[in-house]
Amino acid sequence: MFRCQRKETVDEAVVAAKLAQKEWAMVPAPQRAEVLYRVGQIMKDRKEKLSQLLTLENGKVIEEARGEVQEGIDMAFYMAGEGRRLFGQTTPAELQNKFAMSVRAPIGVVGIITPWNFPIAIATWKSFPAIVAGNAVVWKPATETPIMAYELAKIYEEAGLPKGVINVVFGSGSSVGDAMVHHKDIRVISFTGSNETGSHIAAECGRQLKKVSLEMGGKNAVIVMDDADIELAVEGIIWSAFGTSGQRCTACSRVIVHEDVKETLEERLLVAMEQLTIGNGLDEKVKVGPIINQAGMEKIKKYIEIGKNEGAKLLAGGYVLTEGEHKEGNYFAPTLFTNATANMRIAQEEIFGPVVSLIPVRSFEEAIEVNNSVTYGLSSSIFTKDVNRVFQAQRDLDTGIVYVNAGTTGAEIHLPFGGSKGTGNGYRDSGVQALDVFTEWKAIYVDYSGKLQRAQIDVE
Amino acid sequence: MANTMMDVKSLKNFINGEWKEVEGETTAVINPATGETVVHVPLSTKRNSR
Repeated sequence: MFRCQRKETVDEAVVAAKLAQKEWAMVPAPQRAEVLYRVGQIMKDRKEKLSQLLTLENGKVIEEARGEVQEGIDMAFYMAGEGRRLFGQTTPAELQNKFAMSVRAPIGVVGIITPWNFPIAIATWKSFPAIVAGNAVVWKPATETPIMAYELAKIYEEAGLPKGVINVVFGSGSSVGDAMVHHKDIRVISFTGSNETGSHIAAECGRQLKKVSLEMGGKNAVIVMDDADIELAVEGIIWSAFGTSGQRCTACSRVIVHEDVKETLEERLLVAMEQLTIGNGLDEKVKVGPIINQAGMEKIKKYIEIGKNEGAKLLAGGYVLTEGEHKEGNYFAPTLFTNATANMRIAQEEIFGPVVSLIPVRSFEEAIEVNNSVTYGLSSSIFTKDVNRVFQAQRDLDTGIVYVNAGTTGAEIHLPFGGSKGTGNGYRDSGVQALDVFTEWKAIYVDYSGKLQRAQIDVE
Repeated sequence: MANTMMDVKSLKNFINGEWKEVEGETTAVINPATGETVVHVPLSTKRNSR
């Protein structure tokens, strides 16, 4: 009975989207883009309010919230620009008086399922390319962070997006998400979230021959070589490990360090970690905010015990903050393990919290091998001044994103975002590559010879 | 209270250009920094027909 009722809500959204999409696809793309320019402008005008609301529901510190909203603004203008590109290809035909071209065609109704850790940025990565390409969207945001979805839907409405082109259905993954995945008229699912849910979605979409784009976990590492600028490496590690309290899919959770600089790095990291102010992200002085919920806290605590039992050495943190201003929220102390080995669970599994494990290595080759030893393949980083190692590393690190002399976070919206191996299934969010998720290629042949010309046969 | 920033107490689905109230279950959106409820979000397990 419940299944039937929740299905009706999704059904209603899909019916509306299907109808709206037919007309939306007929609007020339540069005019579709005009809506996105207005969306971007409203977001820009409202940046501070959106950022505050984002901190309120997600907990990330206000400086990062402003960065995330900016990412959405950037994506709006970038994808609006696609309204005058959406490039297809022309190519010579093999016969006389025949023309050949391929164009990107919208797919129809697309379903997007977005996580709580970047509630507005990821929504823009997915909905903007879908909409500019002429699709209609049914969107299920995470129930932890629905306010950004509410605000973005209001912005779409104000910007004059025709009714039904975007539809927001709040609810859990097991009800609304499931109904979307099973709906025959939703032809694409674009999902960011856990590997467990993602592989379940992929299996179900596979049975229905439904296109699915997955962006999932990471076990991202910073490599610090013996010739690295250690101060810079410390800054990069602190920012990418403890920013968003380690709850980014690109968060640094491993540091692979050359044994010659291990002690120096440990010392300097500990000093830097002591400077981190932990608290309510709306306070401008705070550098590390709370963990999203109790389930997140429990998972982190579990991994601290696992790390200790595996024999890694706890250098700092490892506990819940429960006193004073930390009493009512979910606060976990930034944590540093050292002497971890590549095969330990704390060095292999995603923790999604402010926990970093140092893994000492003896050589550049070993560092690469350790980096590549995890099932995930999202982001990696190397600190070195050796140009030869830089170029070897960018070739040999097996992740979808590689940083040189910067931490594992900080993607820009006009480049493809995504991971190899267990992180995804080959698609990319953001960049022009995002269009590959929401369009299909159509090949068109125009024969203007006035006679039957057979390809491959009448070519003599 | 931080939730004075919100102009509504409970969110609605946005379907076909209309804000549709959802009858039935909701869940609280909790500010993880303070444990305070910011707003309620519907769990669309019931028909949304108002």
